[in-house]
Amino acid sequence: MRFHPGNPFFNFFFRGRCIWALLASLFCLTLVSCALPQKKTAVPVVKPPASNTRIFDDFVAVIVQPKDTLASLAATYLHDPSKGWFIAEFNEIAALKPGQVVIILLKPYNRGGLSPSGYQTVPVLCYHKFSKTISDRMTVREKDFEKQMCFLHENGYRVISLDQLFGFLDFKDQIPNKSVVITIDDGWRSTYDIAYPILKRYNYPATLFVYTNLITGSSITLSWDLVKRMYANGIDMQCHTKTHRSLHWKREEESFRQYFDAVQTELNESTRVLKKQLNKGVRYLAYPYGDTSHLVIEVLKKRGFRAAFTVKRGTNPFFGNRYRLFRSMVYGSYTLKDFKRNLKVFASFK
Amino acid sequence: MRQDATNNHWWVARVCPGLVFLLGILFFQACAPPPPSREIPVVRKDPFHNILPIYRLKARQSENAQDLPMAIFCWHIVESFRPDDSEAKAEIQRLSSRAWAEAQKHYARGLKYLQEKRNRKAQDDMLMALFYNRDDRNALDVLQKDFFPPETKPYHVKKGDTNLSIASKLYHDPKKEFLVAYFSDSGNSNSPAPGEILRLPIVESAPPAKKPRPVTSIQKAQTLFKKKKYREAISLAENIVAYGPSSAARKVINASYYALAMDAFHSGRLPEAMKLFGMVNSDYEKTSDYIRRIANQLRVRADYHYKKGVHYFLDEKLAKAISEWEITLRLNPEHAKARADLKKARTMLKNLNGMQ
Repeated sequence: MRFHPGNPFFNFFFRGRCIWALLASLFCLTLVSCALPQKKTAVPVVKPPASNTRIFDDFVAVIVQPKDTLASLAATYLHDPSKGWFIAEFNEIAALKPGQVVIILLKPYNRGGLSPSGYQTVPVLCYHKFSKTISDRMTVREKDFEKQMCFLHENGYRVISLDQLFGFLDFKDQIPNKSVVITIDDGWRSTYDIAYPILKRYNYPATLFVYTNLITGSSITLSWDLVKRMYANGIDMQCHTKTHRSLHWKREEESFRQYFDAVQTELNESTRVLKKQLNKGVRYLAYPYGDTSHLVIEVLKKRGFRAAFTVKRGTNPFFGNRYRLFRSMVYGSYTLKDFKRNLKVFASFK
Repeated sequence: MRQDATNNHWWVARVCPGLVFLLGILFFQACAPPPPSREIPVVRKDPFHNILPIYRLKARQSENAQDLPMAIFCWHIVESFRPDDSEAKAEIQRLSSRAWAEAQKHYARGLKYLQEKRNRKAQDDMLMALFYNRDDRNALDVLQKDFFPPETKPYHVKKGDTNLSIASKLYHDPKKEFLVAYFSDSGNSNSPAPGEILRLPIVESAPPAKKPRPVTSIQKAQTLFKKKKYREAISLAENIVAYGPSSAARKVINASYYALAMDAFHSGRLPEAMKLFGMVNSDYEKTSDYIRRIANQLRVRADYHYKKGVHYFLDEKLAKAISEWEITLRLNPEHAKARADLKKARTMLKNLNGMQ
């Protein structure tokens, strides 16, 4: 059947007006459908940036904001503002720049300071007396001490506390690559008058090993009030015996039993007095004259001492003998060059 | 007319079905929903996108530097951002196996060296084992225990042993039974339990032979001091102090240096006197006073030489000015002006010589 003028369907469509109405409505529908929202060209739609922080199980990635500092990030994510160095060292940066991405590890990544070429060591410096004008073997001039602390500050060394050192020695915590410990022996007044203000200025922790009989408050020795003041302001106090007698040497007039009892008294009394005055337990000892022996070490272990220091020059790796730790005395005659020689912070494999 | 009408209808008959069909197609296409694949892409700009190439690079650099643990960690960072990154997954697996194998190799070699008593080499290998596997408790135990000389001797308690008999056997001194009681778990009991292993400290029976305490030497040092042989007295007394604390020896040292310093002071050798007083304890006699006096005198002398140097400088006698300022600095190393002027004068003299 052809669709031509003779066909009845043709007549139905074209002879009537229906065809025009149909065509007009189809045309309108087409126009309307064309007017509906069209597909847009493929221009990417940029949504607002994601959060500035991504938190994973063992690290956090942060985009640095203008107000951020290493200390503020450490306070936020590591709960310790003094751990800014930890962020700086992993990201190999000295300071933060806004917009920079930093990775903050939530646990130590290099316990023991090990590397393919060697291992970290920690120098422990030992001072005794200070003076404004005079220097001798045991006395360091104020100006020299200031220069030494300034040298540490300007050359990227970080002074850590004894507790931090023992976190490292226990292979539990990581410490800054260039860590140094400062200790002062005995309890001379110049520690408070000269060393303490300088340490405070640099915000350096230090440990004072006191022999308790010296704390008399005379013109040249510390008083307990001064000891307490320093202790309250970041200077740790530890044991240097009661009378500063050598724990190793038995006196000629003593029997072995008397000598052993004397060693016990030296330790008992000093820890008792420190506990009474500062309400703190004592965990570390500096041997008077640096002298020790197998017997003394075993007594210390039995009495719960965690470690003890000699005055044998050297620096300490994490696997060092913690009852014979090295400590380098800083003499009054030291130049900065001499001082520097005692700051070895890395030992290479042979 | 009829012919015209027929012609018109022919045109309509040819074109209209096509037109209707086309319009229908257009209509249906317009109404049809867009295919899902043609959805408009929405790009979320990842602010961390830069970090991935950095840590990929760092991982490769660390591997090249043999720092496998760091390389593994860098890949771990990449994987944390892109959990579907197959390269990161594969690298972590490969490097972890390699690090584990290295740790095993070094630990085994370390043990071998330890048996051969080549401690330094053993230590280095144990450290490497621990470097590749920080959780290697065995390597850590060896490092923290096996390289130190023992502080104690083990003693296996036998039936019938008492503190007294153990002290006699171990220390050859029954009087040391209190030591056995102190270090054994038996406390004050006289006999430790059979089978118990006691770890008793090694006790040197006498001070080491190398370091006999020179009892008579202090008298000798004192005699030398009385004879005004100060240098010899110092040398002997310092030897005594090296063996252990001795207040008598310390006194000889202080007194001898003090005497030498006084002699230098009265002879006008002030720099030498200053140095010698520096060797004396500052609270010894009038040491502090003398040091202050000498320091003042040295400052005055230094100023005198400095001014003399200035005169020479103004007279264009550079060599003489330099010499004066060198003396100034010898007398007072902290004379800042002399130091600065000396530097300038030396540069000027060098330039002048160069011009000639």
